[in-house]
Amino acid sequence: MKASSLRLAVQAAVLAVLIPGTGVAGELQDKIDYCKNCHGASGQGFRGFYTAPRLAGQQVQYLENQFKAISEHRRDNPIAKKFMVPVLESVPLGMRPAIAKHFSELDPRPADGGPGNLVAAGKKIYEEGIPDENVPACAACHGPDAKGSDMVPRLAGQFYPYLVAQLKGWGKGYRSKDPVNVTDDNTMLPIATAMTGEQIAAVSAYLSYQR
Amino acid sequence: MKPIKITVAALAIACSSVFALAGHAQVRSCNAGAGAESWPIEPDKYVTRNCAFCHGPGVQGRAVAPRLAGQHADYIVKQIEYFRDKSRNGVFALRYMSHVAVQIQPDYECEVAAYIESLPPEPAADNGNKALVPVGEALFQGGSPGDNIPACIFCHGQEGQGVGRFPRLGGLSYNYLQRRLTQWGEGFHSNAEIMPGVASKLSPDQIEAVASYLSYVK
Amino acid sequence: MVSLRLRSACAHNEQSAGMAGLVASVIPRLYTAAFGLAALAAGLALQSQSASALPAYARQTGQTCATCHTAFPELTPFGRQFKLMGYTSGGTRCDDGSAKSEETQIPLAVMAWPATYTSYKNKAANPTSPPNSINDNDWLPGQFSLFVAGQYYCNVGGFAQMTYDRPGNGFSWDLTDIKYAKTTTVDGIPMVYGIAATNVPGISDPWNTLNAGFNFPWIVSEVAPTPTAATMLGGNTWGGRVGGVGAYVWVNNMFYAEIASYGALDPRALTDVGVDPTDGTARFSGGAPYWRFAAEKTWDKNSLMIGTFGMYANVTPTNAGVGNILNIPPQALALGGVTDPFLDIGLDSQYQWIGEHNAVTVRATYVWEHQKLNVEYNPLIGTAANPTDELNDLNINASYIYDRKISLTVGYFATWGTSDTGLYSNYNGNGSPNSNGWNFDLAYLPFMDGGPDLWPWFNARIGVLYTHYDEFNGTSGLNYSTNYATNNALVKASGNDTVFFYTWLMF
Repeated sequence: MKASSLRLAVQAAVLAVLIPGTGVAGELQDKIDYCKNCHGASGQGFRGFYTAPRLAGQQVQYLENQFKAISEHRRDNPIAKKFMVPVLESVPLGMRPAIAKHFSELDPRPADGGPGNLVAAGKKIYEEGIPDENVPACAACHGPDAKGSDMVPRLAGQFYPYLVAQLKGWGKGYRSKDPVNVTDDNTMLPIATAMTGEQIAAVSAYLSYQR
Repeated sequence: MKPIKITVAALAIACSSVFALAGHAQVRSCNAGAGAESWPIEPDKYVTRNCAFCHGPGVQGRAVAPRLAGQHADYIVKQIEYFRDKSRNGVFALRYMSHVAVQIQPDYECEVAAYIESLPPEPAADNGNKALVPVGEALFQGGSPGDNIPACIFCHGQEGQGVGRFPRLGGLSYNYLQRRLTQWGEGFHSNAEIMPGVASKLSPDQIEAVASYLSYVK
Repeated sequence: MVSLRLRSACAHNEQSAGMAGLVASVIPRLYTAAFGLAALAAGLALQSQSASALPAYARQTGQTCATCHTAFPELTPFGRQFKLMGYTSGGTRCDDGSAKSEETQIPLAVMAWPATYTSYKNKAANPTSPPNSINDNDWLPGQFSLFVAGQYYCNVGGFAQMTYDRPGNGFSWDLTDIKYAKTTTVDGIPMVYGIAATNVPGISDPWNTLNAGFNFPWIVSEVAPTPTAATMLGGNTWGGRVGGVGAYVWVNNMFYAEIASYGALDPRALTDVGVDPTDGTARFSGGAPYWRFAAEKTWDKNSLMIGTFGMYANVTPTNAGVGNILNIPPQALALGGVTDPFLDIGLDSQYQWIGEHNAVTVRATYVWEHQKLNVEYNPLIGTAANPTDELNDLNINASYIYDRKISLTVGYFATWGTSDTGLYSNYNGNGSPNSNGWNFDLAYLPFMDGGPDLWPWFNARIGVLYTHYDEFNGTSGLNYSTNYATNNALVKASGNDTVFFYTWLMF
């Protein structure tokens, strides 16, 4: 790093610590507040006319990968394209890790829930998979508590309709590539496309209540 | 943690926030069947008798009283609560609606609201600035990410039609929209979810543009 | 509110004594029906388990005066709509499913003028005092009125006032407007239509421009001098002396049309309603058509109305004319079809702006009258010098109301027309009916946004009206004063200037 940019970085860091709300730190807070307009005051997600998913407690690596994929027009499901592409254009690259870190540390209760009568079946799928259809146990990658790790996303407490839309989306061809190794198929592609609509609904309902 | 037990019937109620969001007042979700056993009203006659002399015979709006026709029932019910507890504290709201709202009995407010939602709305097409409509449309559709202003359509829908507790904005009077947006920036009605924060970021020109655009939406 | 005091439009007896010389005045209306004093206890007992949080929940609409009035009696667009829809908004006395609660509302209200003070510029030195006379510079309690107002039943509602008037004749029927109104939609266009029974031509009108009880000056002294000549509609000649039925429509919140027909009450009926049939006021024979058309546009805080109105009456002058040598009663002539047809055509306009704290209203009303004096011009019966006369009335005024509490209204008025030495006699003999001058009203209304906790529906208007004449009964110079206390003393026009202080309370 050049000396001048190092100095600037130190200055910004000092300012951010000493004078919150001004300069870079203020801009960061403003941007986080902007995210929360749609993603909820505690990052728990928000359902307006459209639905913005829960970001609270999400894995930092996963968030950063999605920021990058959206910015590079590689996350192609329609709502992401419609809303998130212009949003991320306004978020400087240097700010993104701090945003991801902020949301990863939030821990509100799940904001909404799917059909309660499907939860038991969904729990079974989550913990055991669907062997007949070569669907592995979700818990194997996403963790027994559905909180994910590194680039594997947290699913616990995510909105039911969002989970359903994402799982079905792979069946429609959305998000078909891996967000990091962009020429590889997305890990979820064979899994999601092997699940029936009822299985998708069940596991999504189960996850929507996980704390 | 155990999953919350919620009946299917309750879940079938669309759109409204049964769960408190960050300290905002809980609002009853409105089911069109509610109120049948309460004070027996005929909603069309009720609205004509009690609302029309200010909001106009078809509650399409009159003077400073906004159009209600076509507005979402959940939103109407929530506003009635805001008028009752004087959260909606603009001068006109306090002078007129705070006294009205305390007379609307909770037993039948959902029925009245559902009837009002069923009325076809007519666009105000009043004195908005037609030249600013494209600017307003762009702002409504995309917000202004650089200014941290979210896209209005995210809550209010592609044509400003709203859903649930998010009001229909398309076709409301320019003056009414302009006044509401300005008042949030001035600190009125400060518990209106995200609107105070969003509206206070809008410049007067942006308010004029988006209010103009919306007033002409069919 | 001032009871109807009517001036004879064809007064060839300009020395008309007493009450007939007084101008009808505006009567404020109260639809937020408070309990009458007698009903107060009953009313409190009837306040049941309502969901309402308001104490003394008795008002029909449950709203403060400020919803319908800028400064009573001046109306807002909501007040106009309330009147146009038949006074029934908010009412619970109907089983059609429109009632907002089970609470009973009693449509009674009371008005009082506990203290008024009138001062004339020129005081009489030693006035002769006929019985019941009032000296000038006098404090005196003004009139007291009882109203039955609001929703009577379902779509029938009204405004009916009974007034006890000092100095006066006991109780009399005052302003009355009873309506049956329905709201409907035709081809998607909202429409209100109704029928009305009234005793004042023009009282149905919701704008404060017609001299039918609710125009400016809002309240006048009962003992102040007033000019003699006025058009039928400009001077509210027939108020309280007629009965009429009409029909009206209010289309798309913009267009108003009303047609009515009036008949003059005969002397027996006049006595029944508390009016003195011998006070010199003329009558008319047969039916007198009345019409009114107006267009109003409201947008946000503004409203603008332009309108026209008129009336046609076959006037039968009183038979007190000096020229009536044969003492033929004009009513007998009327049976033979001989009357004095009067035609009034008027134009009016109102602009109103109501902000969050202040309000401004500007009004202009003009009436042109043509009088065909078949009877009055007949040398054996009447006194007119001309076979026809014309008369004009103009009233232009503007109110500014600050914070719903302080109201200032300034108005210019003028009457002018054909000089007729037979009909209008004055000291210099020019036969001119002309008068003009200015009114200034300054008032304090502390309770427009709600009364005291003990009685939230109480309202009050405390103010002062200064009336200045530049010309009075045909001259700006010396003339006989119509102030009967001064009893034919000679004063200049400005000698009739009056300061009138009033306390106007509504319960």
